[in-house]
Amino acid sequence: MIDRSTNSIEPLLRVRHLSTDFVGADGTVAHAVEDVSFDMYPSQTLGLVGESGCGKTTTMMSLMRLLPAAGRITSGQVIFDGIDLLSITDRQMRHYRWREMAMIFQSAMNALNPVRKISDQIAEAILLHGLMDHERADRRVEELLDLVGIAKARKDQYPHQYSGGMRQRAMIAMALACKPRLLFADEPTTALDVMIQAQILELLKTIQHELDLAVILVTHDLGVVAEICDTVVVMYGGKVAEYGTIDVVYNSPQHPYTQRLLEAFPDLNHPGDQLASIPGYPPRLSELPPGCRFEPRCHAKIEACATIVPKLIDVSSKDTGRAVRRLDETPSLLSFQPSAFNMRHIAACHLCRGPEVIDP
Amino acid sequence: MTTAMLEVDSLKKYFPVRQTIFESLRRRPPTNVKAIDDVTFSVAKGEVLALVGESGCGKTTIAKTLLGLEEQTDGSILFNGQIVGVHERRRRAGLVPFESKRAVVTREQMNFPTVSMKKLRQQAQMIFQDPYESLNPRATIFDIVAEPLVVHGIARQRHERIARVKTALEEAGLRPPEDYFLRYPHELSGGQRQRVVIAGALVLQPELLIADEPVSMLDVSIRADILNLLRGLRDSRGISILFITHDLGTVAYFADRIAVMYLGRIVEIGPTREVLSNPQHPYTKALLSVVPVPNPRLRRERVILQGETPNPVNVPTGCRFHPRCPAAIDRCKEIDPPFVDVTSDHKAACLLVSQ
Repeated sequence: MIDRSTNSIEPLLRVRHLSTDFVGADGTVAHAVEDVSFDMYPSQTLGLVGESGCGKTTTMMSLMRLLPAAGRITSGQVIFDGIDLLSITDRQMRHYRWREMAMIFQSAMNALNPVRKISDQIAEAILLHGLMDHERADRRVEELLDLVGIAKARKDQYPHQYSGGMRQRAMIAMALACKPRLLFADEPTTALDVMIQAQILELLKTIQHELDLAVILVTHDLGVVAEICDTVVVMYGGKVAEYGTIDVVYNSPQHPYTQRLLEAFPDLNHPGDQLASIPGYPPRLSELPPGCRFEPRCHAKIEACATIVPKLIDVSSKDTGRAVRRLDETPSLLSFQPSAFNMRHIAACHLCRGPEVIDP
Repeated sequence: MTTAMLEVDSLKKYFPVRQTIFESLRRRPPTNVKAIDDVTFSVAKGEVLALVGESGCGKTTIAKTLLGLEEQTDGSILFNGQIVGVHERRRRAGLVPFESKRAVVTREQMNFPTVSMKKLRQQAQMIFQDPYESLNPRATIFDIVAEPLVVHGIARQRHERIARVKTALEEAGLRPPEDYFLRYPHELSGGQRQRVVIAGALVLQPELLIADEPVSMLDVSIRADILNLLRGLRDSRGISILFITHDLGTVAYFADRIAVMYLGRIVEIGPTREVLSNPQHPYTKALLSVVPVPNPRLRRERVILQGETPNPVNVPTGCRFHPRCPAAIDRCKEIDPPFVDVTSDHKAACLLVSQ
């Protein structure tokens, strides 16, 4: 294992001030993502959480440069292994997709081609990138299926012959085909049962550990994030609301949105408690409030919230005993120790006190 | 114990598997998918019972059978002490349900008052999982919510109908209701749509709501809203709710009692707190251990069952859970475990449960 006690490790992916707009047919501009910054280290898991329409998927698609025609990255930098992905040509970008960063989609049934065999679909990316000949690609497919726990005998079947969980496993095998270093998982378990969800999450963890993979998990389920992530970015209305290690964000959330989200989650240990809900709905991205985007729904708002956009504040000083994980808590798969990176805890709220953060 | 609103007794629903011509020529015994295999439970007035299990365990089939969308193979359904529709029709036709080994409609039951299916569907309403697919995209919200009234011929006067729709929308938390009358489903968010679905169910003032995964398509923050709404309805109007879900997390918050289903059968049933704090069946324990908890300091040892629910055509011998059970012993392969009382109202069907 690499010594991670020093700060010498370079992040694998450095996202700085990323903004993406969508331009409608009538010329209206929706700021889907605005000023999003975060770091990803090798073999780290980052959770990107928020309600639907908060810009999670757009952020991910911007990083892969796979935005639909109406989408446009207006500013920012996405530095992957020292190279700014936003400044290279489309042709160069193709080298990165799937060989360096791959993706698992939410609905495995829709993402798989129903009229092609699973084995052919997995081999497609390998052959397309010219990494292997057919024979070796075939062996690689068997390896991959073995890795995700699908019997070799089923490789020549079609997606409809697979169950939901198996399809998602096949998707993971497909994403791993070209040995990427970064994996995006967009709601990988949302459509699945709890037990299958647990199987898939366990699989992701094992694979990540075996292949030293960095994973960005996009989800609205805070429970899933708590199970497998190291750091978390909470997004609201296209902006970062809070960012930190999961331990600090879950145990001393500073942004009112994060606080409410956590309270809205039913707790098995306290059945029957009234659930906090967040009144109203997320803002339309084409008609955003002038100040803090969460202001109309916020329970703790002050006067400034309606007019002034809150800056990112370093709230690390509020965290006591941060990033202390007890030894008896599943240390086996947690190779990443957040404290080693001097991760700051950042929140965008007028109520937070602390130094302003310009470069997170 | 208050009076039972819904009593389900040894309910069975088998779907026959179509045979090939060779199989039928060889007189192979017909095979069945045993979607519901001997399920007994009851829902009291104003009670919330949660049916929990993986997909394919028969939860939705139960809901459909209760509303007569599927005809039961065997067993009886009593709604407010009255036999539900299907039996009535069969009784009139002088028939008993097919493949019945016991005389299901007994002489005693023949004398039971019956409730017709149409009447039942007025009193028992269903809320479906996906609010994006259960609303007609070309109808206005008013038309959608008023449709049950039209179907049942209630509130024929225009002003009556408007008043009923208004109350229903208000109860479902869509305020002011007039703003929604002329809007279409595509103009609403997921949470609002689910509220419209609920309003459509409430407009008939039902006594029982059957909610099939009503929140699993929704975001966490909206989910809490809808759950609070349903709980409020139970508290204010005493509506009974049969809550079908695979997520024990929402159940913990919401249900009075839990019935855990596996492969067409209830394996554990009891009061929520008791089942959650003292689960007896290994399946319940496994389900509980994999519920994601939003607290990274509580990462626990999880019991992850391998594989998926087996095919209900070939139900394993003995205990149907034994091939996936982490605690199975030899006897589990042979003996189909009966229900054992853990406490007076907490039962589990497992050989390992000590009485």
